[in-house]
Amino acid sequence: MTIPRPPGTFAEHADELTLQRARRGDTQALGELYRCYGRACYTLALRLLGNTAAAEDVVQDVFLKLFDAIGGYRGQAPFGAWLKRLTANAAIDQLRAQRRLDGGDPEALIAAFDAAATTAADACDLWSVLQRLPPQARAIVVLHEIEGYTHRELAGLFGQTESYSKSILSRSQQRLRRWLGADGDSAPGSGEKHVAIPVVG
Amino acid sequence: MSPSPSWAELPEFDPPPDLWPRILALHRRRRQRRIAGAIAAGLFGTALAAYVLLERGPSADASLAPLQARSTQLENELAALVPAASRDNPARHELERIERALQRAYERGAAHGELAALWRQRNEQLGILLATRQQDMQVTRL
Repeated sequence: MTIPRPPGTFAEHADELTLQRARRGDTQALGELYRCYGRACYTLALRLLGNTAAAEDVVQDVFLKLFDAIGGYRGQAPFGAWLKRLTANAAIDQLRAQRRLDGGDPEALIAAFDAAATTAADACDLWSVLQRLPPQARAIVVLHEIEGYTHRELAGLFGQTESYSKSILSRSQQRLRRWLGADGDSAPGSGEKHVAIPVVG
Repeated sequence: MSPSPSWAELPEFDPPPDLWPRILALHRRRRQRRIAGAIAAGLFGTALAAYVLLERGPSADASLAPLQARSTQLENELAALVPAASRDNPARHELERIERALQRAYERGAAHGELAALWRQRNEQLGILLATRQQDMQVTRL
């Protein structure tokens, strides 16, 4: 974790001249895009994967792909949003490759919640408790709550139904609230922490 | 009571400072490999084209010409000696087999070496037929 500074998010604006240079394969322009979006990519990958080495791999894969794929970017969506999709897809692919997605078995995922609950005693902030969630649940929470993915999009991304995504999100929110003590059933050591987690819609 | 954190309060993270140099170095290595691969593919293509031209080109066809001319000559000599009734014999069948093989070889665009070998076989078989017929005629005269 680093000292807070102005956020490097996917909402940053990439100027058209830099994009044009990048499309022509100008590595300096791609370096400028990295400086603009690298932090956002890394943060999203780390939130999804919970592992710095895996997050570095994802950022590396995304920017290596970008060298080839940016020629196909036609500006139909903001560049940051396009890059966010690339990053999220690469992270989900990595979870899939590591067999850390639960193959659509809700019972297995619920069992993973229960296993995680026993180790949540030392969790005391949102980032810590987020990492206690099973990988697929964490990814659904991050993509829906922070990155604005719809349940339809999540269903497509994970190859599941929308109701599956809603169910996992609901359970995750309950679990996060409990771990953070927001519903009066705090985990030992978690004290008075609270989180503004909306009820899934 | 502590202030309520929200999703916006989740920390953001800086990638390690050496990540971009690593990405750039990897990209350059990949690009060099691609260039080397493209050069290798180009050289292979050129070599293949040269081989095809040598095997299938006009010079290859020209080198078959003496064999074809010899074949025609033997055919004419044989036709002058062999009456139509005596054409049904095992040596004639072998000649027909070679001719069918030659036809198929042309149809599938066989290499020069295969075509030349078949033309030589055809000429040898014609020679056998011719020699046999000439011996038969001598015996008949005696």
